Amino acid sequence: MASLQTPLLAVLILLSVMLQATDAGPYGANVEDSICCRDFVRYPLPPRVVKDFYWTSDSCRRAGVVLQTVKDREICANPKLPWVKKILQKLSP
Amino acid sequence: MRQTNAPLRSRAAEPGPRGIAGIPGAPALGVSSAMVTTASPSNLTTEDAAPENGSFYYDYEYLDSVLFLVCTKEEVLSFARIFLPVFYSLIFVLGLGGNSLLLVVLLRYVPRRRMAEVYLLNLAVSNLLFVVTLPFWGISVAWHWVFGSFLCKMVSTLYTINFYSGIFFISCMSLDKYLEIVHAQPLHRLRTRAKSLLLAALVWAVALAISVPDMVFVQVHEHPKGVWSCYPDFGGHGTSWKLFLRFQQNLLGFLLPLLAMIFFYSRIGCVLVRLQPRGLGRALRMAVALVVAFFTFWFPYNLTLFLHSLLDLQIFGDCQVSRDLDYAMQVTESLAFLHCCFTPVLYAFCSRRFRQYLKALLATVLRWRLGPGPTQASLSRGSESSRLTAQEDVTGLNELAQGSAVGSLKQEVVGSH
Repeated sequence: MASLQTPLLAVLILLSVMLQATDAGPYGANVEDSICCRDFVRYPLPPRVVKDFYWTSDSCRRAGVVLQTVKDREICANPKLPWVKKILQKLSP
Repeated sequence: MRQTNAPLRSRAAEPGPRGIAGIPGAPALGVSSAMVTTASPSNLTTEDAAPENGSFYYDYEYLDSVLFLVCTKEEVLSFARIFLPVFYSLIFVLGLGGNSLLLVVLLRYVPRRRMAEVYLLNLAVSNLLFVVTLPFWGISVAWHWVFGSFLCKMVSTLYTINFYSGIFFISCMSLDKYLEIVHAQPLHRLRTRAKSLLLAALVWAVALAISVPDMVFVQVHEHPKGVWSCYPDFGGHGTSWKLFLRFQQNLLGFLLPLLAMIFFYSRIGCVLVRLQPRGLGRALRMAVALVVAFFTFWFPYNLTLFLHSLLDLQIFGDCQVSRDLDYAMQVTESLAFLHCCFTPVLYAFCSRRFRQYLKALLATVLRWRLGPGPTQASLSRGSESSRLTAQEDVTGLNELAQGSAVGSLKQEVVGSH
């Protein structure tokens, strides 16, 4: 029987070592994790209409920054673009 | 400005410091300076556009293109803040009650040398530790992570360890039955107490290994100010980690255990059908019920998890699909958590002997209530008599083995190999 038990355990151990990673807590309790940008605004926004910003989740496929306009629209922007960087700099204390 | 009672736990690592966004009192630029825009994008760069005219023009109407807008989840979050704490509390109460009862019965009435109960005992412990973490997550969703840094690591680790160990112990029980019925050999004993203990220890070790990243990566984050959350920080490699983790959960937490159970129980079924022992129908029904129960609890959750991964890979879906999947995730995950309330019932209470133990426990409690009496004698007699029967029956599969069929069954199995 050891002939069956051993490979089974070996597979389990191997897999767990290979895939050593996990997430914290239930996925359902992490809705914020799935708030992402699917696309970025193509045109620069004037800095004065952006009142605030926040980063999307680290686990989003596209690392994005969300610019909140004075009209409370939340617009995805590419943080690598110079005009976005400028706005972030301006809003950061 | 995002309200602080609806914190968005943003997880960006790079570029720039965390927790800037939600700081109260961040400058609300441009509110007073209304701007006129036309549909022409060329106007956008002109920051000094005419500041007069209708206040409803101060934003950019042409941005109505949904593509640029972030996929907001306010409704999902409001749903989560009600649904998850309520459901987690329910599972906490049911799981704590059921598994404590199971643990008491196992520790008190089951003779020490029985090995089949090793896995059931470990399953009860695992389930208990698992449901203990649920109130933390419930409060974390309804409010925020108020328990500090140490508990964040500790509770996350406990959650992961017991998430997996519970599933592994269920698989172990199918392996145990398989060894008992299909590989029953009188001379060369494969199922010994020592081996069961070893396998149980191994399960804990593997579950611990899986949870190592929790200990390393999980930490508390403050965002916005005063609002804490507890999640892993993988640096800049969030997407690949997330996909990795989800496929791992699909594989280790569902597919492999399910295949193992199907394999073990179908082999058991084949042997039983060939041997036609007493109580065959009941044993087969029990085996099917165990596999079906596992599938029912875990399949919807794993399907949702898989679809989420496809969504993250942008194979399909839009913002609405993402929201729907978030709802589905909350519901199916909570339903999957119910397994730690029902699995003990399924495994233990279906066993005739376990019902005897339970009756004995209830009798003790009742008589103790009425007044301390000489119940101990009858109890020990009861467990003595059950100790005499040669076979363990935890899943009820083996009740058939208690009769005269045992001898012939084993002989024939040995002969057929």
